[in-house]
Amino acid sequence: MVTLPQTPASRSTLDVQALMDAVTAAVIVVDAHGGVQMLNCAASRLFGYGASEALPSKLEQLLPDVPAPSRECEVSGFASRELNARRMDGCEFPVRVSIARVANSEPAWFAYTVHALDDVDQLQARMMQMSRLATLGEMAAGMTHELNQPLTAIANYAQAGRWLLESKPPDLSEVNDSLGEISSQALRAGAIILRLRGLIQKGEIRREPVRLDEAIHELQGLILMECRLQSAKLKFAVEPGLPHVMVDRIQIQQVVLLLLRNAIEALDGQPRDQREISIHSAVRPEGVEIAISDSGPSASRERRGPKLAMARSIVEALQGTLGYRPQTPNGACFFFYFPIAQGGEL
Amino acid sequence: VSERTSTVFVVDDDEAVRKSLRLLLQSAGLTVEIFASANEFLTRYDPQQAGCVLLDVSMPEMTGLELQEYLNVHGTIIPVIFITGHADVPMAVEAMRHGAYDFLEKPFQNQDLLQRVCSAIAQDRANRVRLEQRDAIQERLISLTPREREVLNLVTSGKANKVMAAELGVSQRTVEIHRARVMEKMGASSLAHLVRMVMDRRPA
Repeated sequence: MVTLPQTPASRSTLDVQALMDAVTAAVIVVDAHGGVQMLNCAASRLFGYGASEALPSKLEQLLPDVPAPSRECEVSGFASRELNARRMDGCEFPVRVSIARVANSEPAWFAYTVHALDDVDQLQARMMQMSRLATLGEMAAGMTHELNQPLTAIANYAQAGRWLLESKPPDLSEVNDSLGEISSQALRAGAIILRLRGLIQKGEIRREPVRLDEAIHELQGLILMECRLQSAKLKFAVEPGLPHVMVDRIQIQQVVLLLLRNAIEALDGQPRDQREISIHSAVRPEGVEIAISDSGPSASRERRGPKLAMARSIVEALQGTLGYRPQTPNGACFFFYFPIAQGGEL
Repeated sequence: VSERTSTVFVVDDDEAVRKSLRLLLQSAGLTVEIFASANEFLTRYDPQQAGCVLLDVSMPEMTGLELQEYLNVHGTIIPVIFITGHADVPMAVEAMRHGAYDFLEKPFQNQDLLQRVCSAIAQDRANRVRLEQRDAIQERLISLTPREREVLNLVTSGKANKVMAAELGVSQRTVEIHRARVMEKMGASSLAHLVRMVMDRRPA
């Protein structure tokens, strides 16, 4: 049983090793000289130490590239970096390490949390791919609704044409106009299907020059529907002809939907006549910005759900920035921006 | 009153849909006006115009539901048939709760559309006739003297002439004269008719 230095009396009886073993992430506790004080089960497993093996005594046996703990932790209190770890059998593997100083420890102790990188990356990539596919599905559903418009018009014109032919005398010039309308509406339906096919082919994540206004315009039906379901008023102020940015079109559409839903959730407790969502665009020196704001209570903004986390990781993976600013008198605004694509990349 | 023409007011932000609806309904012999937005409808529509509204649910700016709400608040009686691109249950419930006359899903059977439009127009006509009758009864009521009004109230609450005479402190003969005047002014052919007219007025 290990007792942490200077823990409150009520906690000193807790079996710290059992507590550490219950943590599923790999944790190593070291002193200021890099001497290993504790290793939890997950860490023993990750580094390949069996129950019978003697545990390593120095941190550098596990994490050869890690800097001396005290210096950076004293300053920042918290740090996270990617480096190589070494298993007991000498094999090296990439990890992400977070370092935190154990509060109130004197002399200082440090906790190292280690995640094998391929796990994290693969998981994140898979999640992004999955949610991206979900967005594709939603957009496809939106387009099938859009298809209803020309199909309805075609059915109307066709029936009107039949009735016009039955009238005595038949109005042939009206019938002729109807046939013209039918063919142009059929072409319109065809164009929607073509777009739908293009969407389905976009299976892979690809960064390409995209105009954010166009990407958002394609979502407008969905956006309207979501706002309507929550009885929210929508102010839509995305300027046409925004400069290109280098992103994956579908992923950006996904981010917009995530932020929109995040905003809509914040309206839950609001009176119906005070539910407002606005989507704005701005071109700034740092790039093209899209901002989604809501009239929800500002305080609820501390609640940053999984939608926001997902939006942030997508934006950051595309080398953009996601941020938050409060609104006055209330409400919140989440925005993201991407640098304007260089002429050469267009 | 029922001789007035009924018009189908089509409100849809999709140009092809609203123009095709106009042609379709016109070729079925109906009078049609089209509007590209809820706002355009509100500026051009006079509530005295009879007929029905064919309304697209999801339009930018003001949605179909909001327009319906506006019409309700302003006491407009014209029936509204919603057209929606997708069977969206919460919205359908909401619309019906707001007093929508009917609901159609795109793309729809033309016969279906025509049938519902015609029944909405018939409903509107019946509503308008009833309203005009109510107004007429109201006018006749105003023409009664205070004493005749008293007699009317007593008659329609089922009192016999003798009882009324006692309550009003007049002779039975006087009650009979008042009663005949009330029947004449109200244009009532029988006591039952008179009672029905007064009952009809009550919800107003």
